Amino acid sequence: MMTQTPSHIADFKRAYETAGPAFPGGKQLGGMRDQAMERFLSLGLPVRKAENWRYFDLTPLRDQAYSPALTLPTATLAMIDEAAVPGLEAPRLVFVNGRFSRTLSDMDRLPDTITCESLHQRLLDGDDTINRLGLDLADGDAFDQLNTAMLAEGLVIDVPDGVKVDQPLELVYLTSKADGLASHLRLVIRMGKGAELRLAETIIGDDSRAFTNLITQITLADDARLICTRRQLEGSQTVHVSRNHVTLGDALYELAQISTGGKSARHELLATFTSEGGHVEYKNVQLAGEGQIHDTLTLFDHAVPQCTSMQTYRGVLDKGSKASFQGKVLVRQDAQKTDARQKADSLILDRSAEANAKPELEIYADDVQCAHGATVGELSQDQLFYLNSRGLSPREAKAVLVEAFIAELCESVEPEPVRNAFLADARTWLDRHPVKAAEEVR
Amino acid sequence: MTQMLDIKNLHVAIEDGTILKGLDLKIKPGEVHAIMGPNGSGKSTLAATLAGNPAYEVTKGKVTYLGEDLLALEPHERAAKGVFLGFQYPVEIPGVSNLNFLRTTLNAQRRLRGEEPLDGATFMKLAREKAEKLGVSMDMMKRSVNVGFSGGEKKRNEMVQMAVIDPKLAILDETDSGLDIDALKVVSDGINALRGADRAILLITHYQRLLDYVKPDHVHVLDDGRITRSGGPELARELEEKGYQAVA
Amino acid sequence: MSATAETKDRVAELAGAYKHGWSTDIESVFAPKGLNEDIVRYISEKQNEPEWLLEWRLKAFAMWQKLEEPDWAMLNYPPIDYQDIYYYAAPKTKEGPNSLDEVDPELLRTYEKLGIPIAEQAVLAGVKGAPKVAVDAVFDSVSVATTYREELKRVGVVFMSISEAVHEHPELVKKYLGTVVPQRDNYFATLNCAVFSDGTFVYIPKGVRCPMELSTYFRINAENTGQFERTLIIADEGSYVSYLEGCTAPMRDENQLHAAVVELIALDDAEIKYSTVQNWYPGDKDGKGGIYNFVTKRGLCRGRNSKISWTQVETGSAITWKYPSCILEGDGSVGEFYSVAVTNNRQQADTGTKMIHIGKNTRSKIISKGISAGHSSNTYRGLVRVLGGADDVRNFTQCDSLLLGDTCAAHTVPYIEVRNPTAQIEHEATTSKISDDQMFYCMARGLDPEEAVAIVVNGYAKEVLRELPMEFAVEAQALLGISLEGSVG
Repeated sequence: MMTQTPSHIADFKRAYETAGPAFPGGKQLGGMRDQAMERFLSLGLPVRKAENWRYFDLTPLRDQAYSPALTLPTATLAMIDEAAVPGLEAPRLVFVNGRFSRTLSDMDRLPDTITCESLHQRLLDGDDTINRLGLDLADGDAFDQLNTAMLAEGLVIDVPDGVKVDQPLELVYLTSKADGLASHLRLVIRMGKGAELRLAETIIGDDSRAFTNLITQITLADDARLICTRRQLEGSQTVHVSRNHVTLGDALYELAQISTGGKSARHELLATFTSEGGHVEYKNVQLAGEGQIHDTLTLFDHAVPQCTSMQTYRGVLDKGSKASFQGKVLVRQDAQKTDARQKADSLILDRSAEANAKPELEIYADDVQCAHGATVGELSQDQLFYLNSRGLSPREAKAVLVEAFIAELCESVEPEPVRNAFLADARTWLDRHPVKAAEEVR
Repeated sequence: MTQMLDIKNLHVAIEDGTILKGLDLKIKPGEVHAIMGPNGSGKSTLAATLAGNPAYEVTKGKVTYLGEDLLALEPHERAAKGVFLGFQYPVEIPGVSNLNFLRTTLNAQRRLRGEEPLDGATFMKLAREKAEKLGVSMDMMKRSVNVGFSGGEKKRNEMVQMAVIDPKLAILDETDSGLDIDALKVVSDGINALRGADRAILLITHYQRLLDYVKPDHVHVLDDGRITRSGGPELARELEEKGYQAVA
Repeated sequence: MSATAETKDRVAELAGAYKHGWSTDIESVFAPKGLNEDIVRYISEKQNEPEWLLEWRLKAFAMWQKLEEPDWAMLNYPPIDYQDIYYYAAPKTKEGPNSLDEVDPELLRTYEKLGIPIAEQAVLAGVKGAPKVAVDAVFDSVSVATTYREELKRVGVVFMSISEAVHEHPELVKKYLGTVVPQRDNYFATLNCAVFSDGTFVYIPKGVRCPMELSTYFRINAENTGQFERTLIIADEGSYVSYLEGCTAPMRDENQLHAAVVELIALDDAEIKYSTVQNWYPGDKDGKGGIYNFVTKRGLCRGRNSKISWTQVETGSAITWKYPSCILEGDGSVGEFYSVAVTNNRQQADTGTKMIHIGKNTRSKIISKGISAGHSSNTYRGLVRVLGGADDVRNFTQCDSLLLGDTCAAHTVPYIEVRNPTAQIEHEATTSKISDDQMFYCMARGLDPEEAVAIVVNGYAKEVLRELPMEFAVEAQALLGISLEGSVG
C-alpha cells in the first residue's frame, strides 16, 4: 500500500500551489480547481495495470517536474509561419508553451458570425457564462483532473445555429525552449444546429522536455458538421496526452490526424452519440521512431439507434518504437441499426519495434453492423512482386508500398493544403526512417 | 369441383402502407394461374402473404386453402400442408449445404404430416434425380444454400427444392427473372413436370416470356393491389403488346 | 439420432477401457468442507502420494492464499466462498430422486433429444440406486475394454488416471507436471495445484500414432468426479493423439465450482488434437444454479514442427472462464483454436485463446463463433503475441458473434502484440443476427422457428464443427439446437 506521496505527484502539487494563485477567474473557479487537484492527488497517474494504459509509458512524467509557464511566450511570427500549414488561407490562433498569444493570433480576421475567445481572456472577464461551459470533468481520470486543476489557457469557440463558416480556422500550438514546462490546455467547441466549421490544428515543438496536456470538449447539435485535422509533430522529448470529448446529436464529426511527435504520445477520442443519425469518422496515421511510445485510444459510445462510426488507424513503427491502438465500440441495448467499423493496420520496419492492437466490441443490441479488422505486417506480397518485376529493388518496392500505406489514409484529407501538409509530414518522417527490405530486417 | 385456394377481399399492409386492397382469386386443383402486373402492383406481396411472411400484415379478408384457414397457419405448417413459395430473391444460408438443408426441411415437413422421415439413401437418390433434371450438379448441391450462386443458379436451386418437396400449391415469384433462354427452358420443364390433376401452380411474373413455355389456364392482371382483369392465355399476349397501362 | 446412439456405444467402450484408471474408493470418502493445509495433506494422503507431490501441493496452497481472484473478465457472479466447498469427493450428499418420475421432465426431454437411453438417463439424473448398475451395464463389455487396453499397451500408450500415473510413471509426471501451466499461473490454476483430486494422464511414445481416440467421456459424468481435474498429455517425438473430453449431459448441481487444469506437451513433430464438448448444467432460465467453470488449458508446442489443436463446443455452465492456449516454442510449430460458444438465458461466457509465438516460422489460426441468446453475455477474449525472435510468424483470426434477440450481449476483446517485423497477423471480427429473411426462408420450407434457428446456427458454426471428430460432431450439432431452445419467440 502506498502511504507516501510519490515525488512526481508532489511536483504537480507544488506546481499547482505556485502557479494557481496567478490563474484567472479564481473567484468562480478556485473551488473547482482545488477539488480537481484533490482528486488528481488521490487518483495519481494511471499505472500500467490499468487496462487502458497497458501499452503506454508515463515514466517521463514521473521522472521530472512540469509546471505551467509563468511568463508570456516570446515566439516570432516566422516560427509560427514555419509551423503552420503551408498555403492554408485561414485565420490563426496561436499558443506558445501553453499560453495563448494574442499578438501572434489573427483575432481581427476571425469570422464575425462566430464567437471565439481565449479561455484566459474569458476567465479574466469574469463573465458568469464560464460556469455553463462544463469545464469540470469530475468523473474523469487523472489527466482530466490535472487539466481542470490547471485550467487557465485555451479557447472557447461557439458557432451559432445555422452558421456555416467557409474558411477554416487554424490552430497552432508551439513548444519552444520549454524544458520542464507543462501546457494544460482546454478547448471548448460548441456547434449550434446546422452549424459548420473546419479546424486545422498543428501541434509542434522542439526537443524540449515538455508536457502537453490538451483536452478538447466538443458538442454538436443536430445537423452540425465539424471537420477537424490535426498534425501532431511534437518534439522527441515531449510528453503528449490529448483527449477529445465529443458529444453529438444527428451531426457529423470528423477527425483526421497524423502524429509523428512526442516521446510518450497519446491521443484519445471519446465520442458519445445522443441522437439518431450521428456519424463520427476518425482517421489516425501514427508514425513512431526511436524511443517513441505512441498510443491511440478510442471509445465510441453508441447509446442511441441508427448512428454510424468509422475508425481507421495506420501505424508505422521504426526501430525502438512502440505504437498501440486500443479502440472500443460500445453499442448499448437501445442502439439498434448501429453501423460501427474499425480497421487498424500496422507495419513494423525493424525488429526492435512493438505494435499492439486491441480493437474491442461491446455489444448489447442485435440488429447492428459491427466489424473490425486488424493486421500487422500485411504488405501485399503480390504488390511487392509486381513492383520487383517492374525493376524496383526489394527495398525500393517496400518503400513505395509503405509510403502508399500512409498516403492512402492522407489522400481523403481536406482541404488540399492540409492534405499536402500531411503527405509532406509523412515524407519527412520516411526520409528520417528509411525503409529496409524484408531480407535486411531478418 | 372444390377450390384449392380461395382468396377473398384480401387486404395486406406492410410498415410503409397498404399494398393489397381487396384481392379475390380462386384456384382449382389442376390449374395453372399467372398473375401479371407492373412493378409495385403487389405481386410479390401476394406471394409472401400466402407463404406467411411475418413482415406482411393481413388487415382484412380471408384465404382458404384446401378447406382450411390458411392465414391461421405458421409458415412451416403451410409448407407441410403443401404450399411452396419459389422466392424471387432466394436467401443465403452460409455453412448449410443444399443437400442438408433440403433433407432437413423435407423430413420436417414429413414429420409434421405424421410421415416417416426419408432415409439417407432414398433421399440422395431423389435429390440426385431431380437435380440432374434441372441441370444442377451434385457439386452445387453440396455447396452452402445459395451462397455465391448466380441469379440463375439460385432460381434453378429453388426449382430443385420444389421438385424434391413435391408441393400441392406452388407459388413462383418471378422465377423467370434473371434467367437466360436455356435456363428458362430448363426451369419451365421443371414447372411443367409438377403439373397434375391434384396440384396447382400460381405463376407471378412481370413478363409474358415464361408463359410461352408454361401455358397458364388463367391470366390475371394485378394493379394497385387488386385484380383488374382476368382472362385466358391471350391476355398475357395483349399485355405484352399494349403494356399494362392500356390493358389495366 | 442413430449416429448419436452409435457414438454412445463407442464412447462407452472407450470409457470402459480406462475403468481401472479410476481410484474406486473415492466414492466412499469425504473430506469436510473448506480448505486448509490439512485438507491438502488429506487429499494427498488418500491418494497415497509421494512426498514430493505433497510438497508441490502445499507450495501451491501457500501461493494461492496470497493470490487474488481475477476480476478482469466480463463476468458477473456473487463472490465464491472457498470455505463452503468440498475439496475431496464431490458433494453428492444431497438426496437424489428415487425414480425417473421425480426427475425434472425438462431435463429428461433434453436427454431424450440427445439420444441417451433410459438407463443412462437415470444415471445422469442421479436417480438413487441407478448409478452402479447402469454404469456397469454400459461398461459391461469387459472383453472389449480389455482389447483396447491391450491394444494401447502393445503400442506403448500410457492412458490412466493421474493418481495412478504418479505411482506407475513418476519420472514422467515429475518431469512435466506444472511445466506448461506454472503453479503460480493464476488463481484457479494454483487452487487446482493444491487440491486436484484426479484426472487423466496420457503419454504417447516416440513415433506412435495412437490407434484410437482417447476420451474421458463418462469420467466427468460419473458421480464421483472431482471438481478439480488435472489432465496431462505428453506426445513424444513424431507421435499423434486425438483426445476427446466430453460432458454431453448436464448435472443438477447448485453453482458448483470447477477449476480444472489441462497441460499438453508436444515434442518434435508431434501432434495433439484436443476436442471438448462442454455441456455442464447452465442453470435454469432465471440463472439459478449452474456450474462455475474456471478452467486453465494450455498446450506447449515444445518441439520443432509440433502441432496442438484445440476444438471446443461450449454450451453449458453458468459461468465459463476458459482460454485454451498454445505456446509455440518449437520452430515451425502450429497452434489452432476452433471454438463455438453458446450462451442462453442468464449464462455468461468469457472465453478465447492465447497464441504465444516464440519459435520461428510458427503459425496459428483462431476461429471463434460466439452465439448469444436470452439474457446471456458472451465474450471472446484472445491474445496473439509475437516475440522478437519469432521470424516469419503467421496468424489468422476470425471471430464472429451472432446475437439472437436484443437482451443478450456479445463482446470481442482481442489483443494483438507483435515485436517482429516479419510477422503477418490478420484479425477479423463481425457481429450479426439471423436475418428475418433467413428465418422466413427456412420456415417457408417447413422448419419450425427453433429448427430454423438451429440450422442457421449450425451453418454459422460449421467451420468449427467440422474440426470435431465425427462422433462428437453429430452430438454437438444437436446440442446447439437444444441450447438455444426458447431463444426465439
